[in-house]
Amino acid sequence: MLWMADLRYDPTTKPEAIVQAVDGVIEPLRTKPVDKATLDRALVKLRSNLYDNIGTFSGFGLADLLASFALFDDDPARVNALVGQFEKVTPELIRKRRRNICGRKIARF
Amino acid sequence: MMFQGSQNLGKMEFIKLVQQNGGTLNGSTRFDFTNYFEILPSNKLETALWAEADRMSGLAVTEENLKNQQGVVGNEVKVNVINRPYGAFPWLQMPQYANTNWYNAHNFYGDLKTSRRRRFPMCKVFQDVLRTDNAALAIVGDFETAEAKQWVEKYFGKIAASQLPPPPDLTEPKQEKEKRVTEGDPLAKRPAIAIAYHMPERNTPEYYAMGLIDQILVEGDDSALYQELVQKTRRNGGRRGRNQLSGQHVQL
Repeated sequence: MLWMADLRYDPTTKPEAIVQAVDGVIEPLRTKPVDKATLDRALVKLRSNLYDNIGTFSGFGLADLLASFALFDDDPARVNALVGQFEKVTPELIRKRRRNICGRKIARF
Repeated sequence: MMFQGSQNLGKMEFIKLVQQNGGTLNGSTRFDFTNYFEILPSNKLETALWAEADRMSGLAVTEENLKNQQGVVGNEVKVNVINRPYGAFPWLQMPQYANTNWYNAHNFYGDLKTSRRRRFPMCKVFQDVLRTDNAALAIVGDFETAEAKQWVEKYFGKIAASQLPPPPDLTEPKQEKEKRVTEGDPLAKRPAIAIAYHMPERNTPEYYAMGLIDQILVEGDDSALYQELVQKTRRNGGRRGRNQLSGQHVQL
Protein backbone atom coordinates (compact mmCIF):
# COMPACT_ATOMS: atom_id res chain seq x y z
CA MET A 1 0.00 0.00 0.00
CA LEU A 2 1.35 3.40 -0.97
CA TRP A 3 0.99 6.98 0.10
CA MET A 4 1.22 9.22 -2.94
CA ALA A 5 1.34 12.91 -3.67
CA ASP A 6 1.71 14.43 -7.10
CA LEU A 7 1.89 17.81 -8.70
CA ARG A 8 2.22 19.47 -12.05
CA TYR A 9 4.62 22.34 -12.34
CA ASP A 10 6.03 24.95 -14.69
CA PRO A 11 8.49 23.55 -17.27
CA THR A 12 11.02 26.20 -16.27
CA THR A 13 11.39 24.64 -12.84
CA LYS A 14 13.89 21.83 -12.46
CA PRO A 15 12.41 18.67 -10.91
CA GLU A 16 15.26 18.53 -8.41
CA ALA A 17 14.06 21.85 -7.01
CA ILE A 18 10.64 20.30 -6.38
CA VAL A 19 12.20 17.32 -4.62
CA GLN A 20 14.33 19.63 -2.47
CA ALA A 21 11.26 21.69 -1.55
CA VAL A 22 9.38 18.53 -0.56
CA ASP A 23 12.34 17.38 1.53
CA GLY A 24 12.45 20.79 3.17
CA VAL A 25 8.86 20.36 4.32
CA ILE A 26 9.23 16.76 5.45
CA GLU A 27 12.54 17.13 7.27
CA PRO A 28 11.18 19.16 10.23
CA LEU A 29 8.60 16.41 10.86
CA ARG A 30 11.49 13.96 10.98
CA THR A 31 13.66 15.86 13.43
CA LYS A 32 11.32 17.50 15.93
CA PRO A 33 7.86 16.70 17.33
CA VAL A 34 5.00 18.37 15.53
CA ASP A 35 3.31 21.04 17.63
CA LYS A 36 -0.06 20.36 19.23
CA ALA A 37 -1.92 22.98 17.18
CA THR A 38 -0.80 21.33 13.91
CA LEU A 39 -1.75 17.88 15.17
CA ASP A 40 -5.15 19.11 16.38
CA ARG A 41 -5.85 20.77 13.03
CA ALA A 42 -4.88 17.59 11.19
CA LEU A 43 -7.30 15.63 13.35
CA VAL A 44 -10.13 18.07 12.63
CA LYS A 45 -9.50 17.79 8.88
CA LEU A 46 -9.30 14.01 9.09
CA ARG A 47 -12.59 13.74 11.01
CA SER A 48 -14.28 16.06 8.54
CA ASN A 49 -12.99 14.00 5.63
CA LEU A 50 -14.06 10.73 7.25
CA TYR A 51 -17.58 11.92 8.07
CA ASP A 52 -17.94 13.33 4.57
CA ASN A 53 -16.94 9.93 3.24
CA ILE A 54 -19.36 8.09 5.54
CA GLY A 55 -22.27 10.31 4.54
CA THR A 56 -21.64 10.33 0.84
CA PHE A 57 -24.20 9.19 -1.72
CA SER A 58 -27.22 8.36 0.46
CA GLY A 59 -25.41 5.95 2.76
CA PHE A 60 -23.17 4.28 0.21
CA GLY A 61 -20.03 5.60 1.94
CA LEU A 62 -20.98 3.90 5.20
CA ALA A 63 -22.02 0.68 3.44
CA ASP A 64 -18.71 0.59 1.58
CA LEU A 65 -16.73 0.92 4.81
CA LEU A 66 -18.83 -1.66 6.64
CA ALA A 67 -18.46 -4.17 3.81
CA SER A 68 -14.71 -3.54 3.53
CA PHE A 69 -14.04 -4.03 7.23
CA ALA A 70 -16.28 -7.11 7.25
CA LEU A 71 -14.46 -8.55 4.26
CA PHE A 72 -10.88 -7.89 5.34
CA ASP A 73 -11.10 -7.82 9.15
CA ASP A 74 -14.33 -9.70 9.87
CA ASP A 75 -15.13 -6.67 12.00
CA PRO A 76 -17.50 -4.10 10.46
CA ALA A 77 -17.68 -2.34 13.85
CA ARG A 78 -14.19 -1.04 13.18
CA VAL A 79 -15.93 1.89 11.54
CA ASN A 80 -16.84 3.10 15.05
CA ALA A 81 -13.25 2.91 16.30
CA LEU A 82 -11.51 4.80 13.49
CA VAL A 83 -11.63 8.27 15.02
CA GLY A 84 -10.40 6.95 18.38
CA GLN A 85 -7.38 5.36 16.71
CA PHE A 86 -6.43 8.64 15.06
CA GLU A 87 -6.93 10.51 18.34
CA LYS A 88 -4.31 8.28 19.98
CA VAL A 89 -1.59 9.53 17.62
CA THR A 90 1.03 11.58 19.46
CA PRO A 91 3.67 14.04 18.19
CA GLU A 92 6.35 11.48 19.07
CA LEU A 93 4.62 8.82 16.98
CA ILE A 94 4.57 11.21 14.01
CA ARG A 95 8.30 11.82 14.43
CA LYS A 96 8.99 8.09 14.77
CA ARG A 97 7.03 7.39 11.60
CA ARG A 98 8.88 10.07 9.68
CA ARG A 99 12.26 8.87 10.98
CA ASN A 100 11.52 5.37 9.80
CA ILE A 101 10.37 6.40 6.38
CA CYS A 102 12.43 4.87 3.68
CA GLY A 103 11.88 3.52 0.24
CA ARG A 104 10.72 6.66 -1.39
CA LYS A 105 9.75 6.25 -4.98
CA ILE A 106 9.67 9.15 -7.36
CA ALA A 107 8.12 9.03 -10.80
CA ARG A 108 8.42 11.99 -13.10
CA PHE A 109 6.67 12.71 -16.38
CA MET B 1 -20.62 -8.72 -16.67
CA MET B 2 -22.61 -8.14 -13.48
CA PHE B 3 -25.05 -5.96 -15.41
CA GLN B 4 -25.45 -8.22 -18.43
CA GLY B 5 -28.09 -10.55 -17.06
CA SER B 6 -28.53 -13.46 -14.68
CA GLN B 7 -30.65 -16.54 -14.05
CA ASN B 8 -33.98 -14.69 -13.73
CA LEU B 9 -33.12 -11.26 -15.09
CA GLY B 10 -32.38 -10.70 -18.75
CA LYS B 11 -29.86 -8.33 -20.23
CA MET B 12 -30.21 -4.84 -18.69
CA GLU B 13 -33.15 -5.96 -16.53
CA PHE B 14 -31.22 -5.56 -13.28
CA ILE B 15 -30.58 -1.93 -14.16
CA LYS B 16 -34.22 -1.37 -15.14
CA LEU B 17 -35.44 -3.04 -11.96
CA VAL B 18 -33.48 -0.61 -9.80
CA GLN B 19 -34.11 2.51 -11.84
CA GLN B 20 -37.83 1.89 -12.33
CA ASN B 21 -38.16 1.58 -8.57
CA GLY B 22 -36.63 5.02 -8.13
CA GLY B 23 -33.14 3.82 -7.39
CA THR B 24 -29.63 4.14 -8.68
CA LEU B 25 -26.78 1.64 -8.93
CA ASN B 26 -23.14 1.24 -9.82
CA GLY B 27 -19.99 -0.61 -8.96
CA SER B 28 -16.27 0.07 -8.82
CA THR B 29 -13.09 -1.96 -8.85
CA ARG B 30 -10.33 -1.06 -6.39
CA PHE B 31 -6.90 -2.58 -6.07
CA ASP B 32 -8.07 -5.39 -3.81
CA PHE B 33 -11.83 -5.64 -4.11
CA THR B 34 -14.82 -4.77 -6.26
CA ASN B 35 -18.06 -3.38 -4.90
CA TYR B 36 -21.55 -3.38 -6.36
CA PHE B 37 -24.29 -1.29 -4.85
CA GLU B 38 -27.80 -0.01 -5.34
CA ILE B 39 -29.69 2.69 -3.49
CA LEU B 40 -33.45 2.11 -3.36
CA PRO B 41 -36.50 3.17 -1.35
CA SER B 42 -36.49 1.01 1.80
CA ASN B 43 -39.70 -0.81 0.86
CA LYS B 44 -37.74 -2.35 -2.03
CA LEU B 45 -35.06 -3.92 0.16
CA GLU B 46 -36.30 -7.47 -0.41
CA THR B 47 -36.36 -6.88 -4.17
CA ALA B 48 -32.76 -5.69 -4.09
CA LEU B 49 -31.60 -8.67 -2.03
CA TRP B 50 -33.36 -11.10 -4.38
CA ALA B 51 -31.79 -9.47 -7.44
CA GLU B 52 -28.28 -9.37 -5.92
CA ALA B 53 -28.52 -13.03 -4.94
CA ASP B 54 -29.76 -13.86 -8.42
CA ARG B 55 -26.74 -12.38 -10.13
CA MET B 56 -24.35 -13.83 -7.56
CA SER B 57 -25.70 -17.33 -8.05
CA GLY B 58 -26.53 -17.35 -11.75
CA LEU B 59 -24.64 -14.76 -13.72
CA ALA B 60 -25.04 -15.02 -17.50
CA VAL B 61 -21.43 -15.76 -18.45
CA THR B 62 -21.89 -16.12 -22.20
CA GLU B 63 -19.53 -15.66 -25.11
CA GLU B 64 -21.58 -12.69 -26.32
CA ASN B 65 -21.58 -10.93 -22.94
CA LEU B 66 -17.88 -11.55 -22.44
CA LYS B 67 -17.03 -10.11 -25.84
CA ASN B 68 -19.25 -7.11 -25.16
CA GLN B 69 -17.56 -6.38 -21.86
CA GLN B 70 -14.05 -6.86 -23.23
CA GLY B 71 -14.92 -4.03 -25.61
CA VAL B 72 -16.32 -1.90 -22.77
CA VAL B 73 -13.19 -2.28 -20.65
CA GLY B 74 -10.95 -1.69 -23.68
CA ASN B 75 -12.75 1.56 -24.45
CA GLU B 76 -12.61 2.60 -20.82
CA VAL B 77 -8.83 2.21 -20.83
CA LYS B 78 -8.50 4.19 -24.07
CA VAL B 79 -10.75 7.03 -22.92
CA ASN B 80 -9.58 7.32 -19.32
CA VAL B 81 -5.93 6.28 -19.51
CA ILE B 82 -4.26 6.00 -22.92
CA ASN B 83 -5.79 9.01 -24.67
CA ARG B 84 -5.88 11.35 -21.69
CA PRO B 85 -2.99 13.50 -20.43
CA TYR B 86 -1.65 12.08 -17.16
CA GLY B 87 -4.27 9.32 -17.54
CA ALA B 88 -2.17 6.73 -15.74
CA PHE B 89 -0.31 9.20 -13.55
CA PRO B 90 0.34 8.38 -10.82
CA TRP B 91 -2.41 6.04 -9.66
CA LEU B 92 -1.88 3.32 -12.28
CA GLN B 93 1.86 3.58 -12.83
CA MET B 94 3.29 4.30 -9.41
CA PRO B 95 2.34 0.89 -7.93
CA GLN B 96 4.06 -0.76 -10.90
CA TYR B 97 7.30 1.09 -10.13
CA ALA B 98 7.18 1.15 -6.35
CA ASN B 99 6.23 -2.48 -5.72
CA THR B 100 8.16 -5.61 -6.57
CA ASN B 101 5.65 -8.32 -5.67
CA TRP B 102 3.72 -9.07 -8.88
CA TYR B 103 0.38 -9.01 -7.06
CA ASN B 104 1.02 -5.37 -6.13
CA ALA B 105 3.03 -4.33 -9.18
CA HIS B 106 1.11 -5.61 -12.20
CA ASN B 107 -0.96 -3.37 -14.45
CA PHE B 108 -4.29 -2.89 -12.72
CA TYR B 109 -6.20 -3.02 -16.02
CA GLY B 110 -4.26 -5.91 -17.48
CA ASP B 111 -2.95 -6.04 -21.00
CA LEU B 112 -5.61 -5.15 -23.56
CA LYS B 113 -4.36 -7.67 -26.14
CA THR B 114 -4.43 -10.48 -23.58
CA SER B 115 -7.81 -9.56 -22.12
CA ARG B 116 -9.39 -9.64 -25.58
CA ARG B 117 -8.17 -13.20 -26.09
CA ARG B 118 -9.70 -14.52 -22.86
CA ARG B 119 -12.33 -17.18 -23.25
CA PHE B 120 -14.20 -19.45 -20.97
CA PRO B 121 -11.76 -19.98 -18.14
CA MET B 122 -13.46 -16.69 -17.14
CA CYS B 123 -16.50 -18.76 -16.24
CA LYS B 124 -14.49 -20.57 -13.57
CA VAL B 125 -13.19 -17.24 -12.26
CA PHE B 126 -16.76 -16.07 -11.75
CA GLN B 127 -17.67 -19.31 -10.03
CA ASP B 128 -14.64 -19.06 -7.75
CA VAL B 129 -14.93 -15.41 -6.85
CA LEU B 130 -18.63 -14.52 -6.79
CA ARG B 131 -19.49 -16.57 -3.74
CA THR B 132 -21.00 -15.76 -0.40
CA ASP B 133 -17.85 -16.95 1.37
CA ASN B 134 -15.76 -14.49 -0.61
CA ALA B 135 -18.03 -11.46 -0.19
CA ALA B 136 -19.50 -9.16 2.42
CA LEU B 137 -23.01 -7.70 2.30
CA ALA B 138 -23.79 -4.39 4.00
CA ILE B 139 -27.24 -2.81 4.25
CA VAL B 140 -27.62 0.76 5.45
CA GLY B 141 -30.86 2.67 5.92
CA ASP B 142 -34.36 2.54 7.37
CA PHE B 143 -35.35 -1.12 7.74
CA GLU B 144 -36.15 -3.75 10.34
CA THR B 145 -32.99 -5.69 11.15
CA ALA B 146 -34.68 -9.02 11.92
CA GLU B 147 -36.71 -8.89 8.73
CA ALA B 148 -33.66 -7.97 6.65
CA LYS B 149 -31.68 -10.87 8.13
CA GLN B 150 -34.48 -13.27 7.20
CA TRP B 151 -34.38 -12.06 3.62
CA VAL B 152 -30.61 -12.32 3.46
CA GLU B 153 -30.80 -15.90 4.71
CA LYS B 154 -33.66 -16.69 2.32
CA TYR B 155 -31.91 -15.47 -0.82
CA PHE B 156 -28.19 -15.80 -0.09
CA GLY B 157 -28.29 -18.79 2.26
CA LYS B 158 -29.00 -21.21 -0.55
CA ILE B 159 -25.98 -20.18 -2.62
CA ALA B 160 -23.39 -22.90 -2.28
CA ALA B 161 -19.96 -22.03 -0.93
CA SER B 162 -16.99 -22.92 -3.06
CA GLN B 163 -13.44 -24.03 -2.54
CA LEU B 164 -11.63 -20.71 -2.51
CA PRO B 165 -8.11 -20.61 -3.88
CA PRO B 166 -5.47 -19.89 -1.23
CA PRO B 167 -4.95 -16.14 -0.67
CA PRO B 168 -1.90 -14.71 -2.44
CA ASP B 169 1.15 -13.49 -0.53
CA LEU B 170 0.96 -9.69 -0.79
CA THR B 171 4.02 -8.88 1.28
CA GLU B 172 6.57 -6.48 -0.17
CA PRO B 173 10.30 -6.76 0.52
CA LYS B 174 11.59 -3.71 2.39
CA GLN B 175 12.81 -1.04 0.00
CA GLU B 176 16.24 0.07 1.15
CA LYS B 177 16.96 3.01 -1.10
CA GLU B 178 15.23 5.64 -3.15
CA LYS B 179 14.14 4.82 -6.69
CA ARG B 180 13.50 7.32 -9.44
CA VAL B 181 11.75 6.80 -12.76
CA THR B 182 11.14 9.21 -15.61
CA GLU B 183 8.57 8.61 -18.34
CA GLY B 184 7.24 10.59 -21.26
CA ASP B 185 3.62 11.48 -21.90
CA PRO B 186 3.10 13.01 -25.36
CA LEU B 187 -0.31 14.36 -24.36
CA ALA B 188 0.89 16.17 -21.24
CA LYS B 189 1.93 19.78 -21.79
CA ARG B 190 3.41 20.39 -18.35
CA PRO B 191 5.76 18.20 -16.37
CA ALA B 192 4.45 16.41 -13.34
CA ILE B 193 6.09 14.71 -10.43
CA ALA B 194 4.78 12.14 -8.00
CA ILE B 195 6.30 10.97 -4.76
CA ALA B 196 5.26 7.83 -2.94
CA TYR B 197 6.13 6.07 0.29
CA HIS B 198 5.22 2.59 1.40
CA MET B 199 2.50 2.71 4.05
CA PRO B 200 2.94 1.08 7.47
CA GLU B 201 1.13 -2.17 8.18
CA ARG B 202 -2.63 -1.77 8.45
CA ASN B 203 -4.17 -1.01 11.85
CA THR B 204 -0.87 -0.28 13.59
CA PRO B 205 -0.30 3.00 15.50
CA GLU B 206 2.11 4.05 12.72
CA TYR B 207 -0.61 3.42 10.14
CA TYR B 208 -2.91 5.90 11.85
CA ALA B 209 -0.02 8.34 12.29
CA MET B 210 0.44 8.25 8.53
CA GLY B 211 -3.19 9.30 8.13
CA LEU B 212 -2.46 12.46 10.11
CA ILE B 213 0.84 13.03 8.31
CA ASP B 214 -1.17 13.00 5.09
CA GLN B 215 -3.42 15.71 6.49
CA ILE B 216 -0.43 17.79 7.61
CA LEU B 217 1.42 17.48 4.30
CA VAL B 218 -1.10 17.56 1.47
CA GLU B 219 -4.74 17.86 2.50
CA GLY B 220 -6.27 21.31 2.23
CA ASP B 221 -4.95 24.77 1.51
CA ASP B 222 -3.30 24.97 4.94
CA SER B 223 -1.19 21.85 4.29
CA ALA B 224 2.56 22.17 4.39
CA LEU B 225 3.24 21.14 0.79
CA TYR B 226 0.47 23.35 -0.58
CA GLN B 227 1.87 26.29 1.32
CA GLU B 228 5.42 25.56 0.14
CA LEU B 229 4.82 24.57 -3.48
CA VAL B 230 1.79 26.66 -4.42
CA GLN B 231 1.51 29.64 -2.12
CA LYS B 232 5.14 30.33 -1.34
CA THR B 233 7.09 29.40 -4.43
CA ARG B 234 4.30 29.22 -7.04
CA ARG B 235 6.13 26.41 -8.72
CA ASN B 236 3.05 24.52 -9.74
CA GLY B 237 -0.53 25.14 -10.73
CA GLY B 238 -2.09 22.29 -8.88
CA ARG B 239 -1.27 19.81 -6.15
CA ARG B 240 -3.08 16.72 -5.18
CA GLY B 241 -2.37 14.30 -2.41
CA ARG B 242 -3.73 10.83 -2.13
CA ASN B 243 -3.57 8.50 0.78
CA GLN B 244 -4.67 4.95 0.31
CA LEU B 245 -5.50 3.75 3.73
CA SER B 246 -6.49 0.12 4.15
CA GLY B 247 -6.16 -0.67 0.50
CA GLN B 248 -8.17 2.26 -0.74
CA HIS B 249 -11.11 1.49 1.48
CA VAL B 250 -10.66 4.83 3.16
CA GLN B 251 -9.38 7.65 1.06
CA LEU B 252 -8.51 10.38 3.47
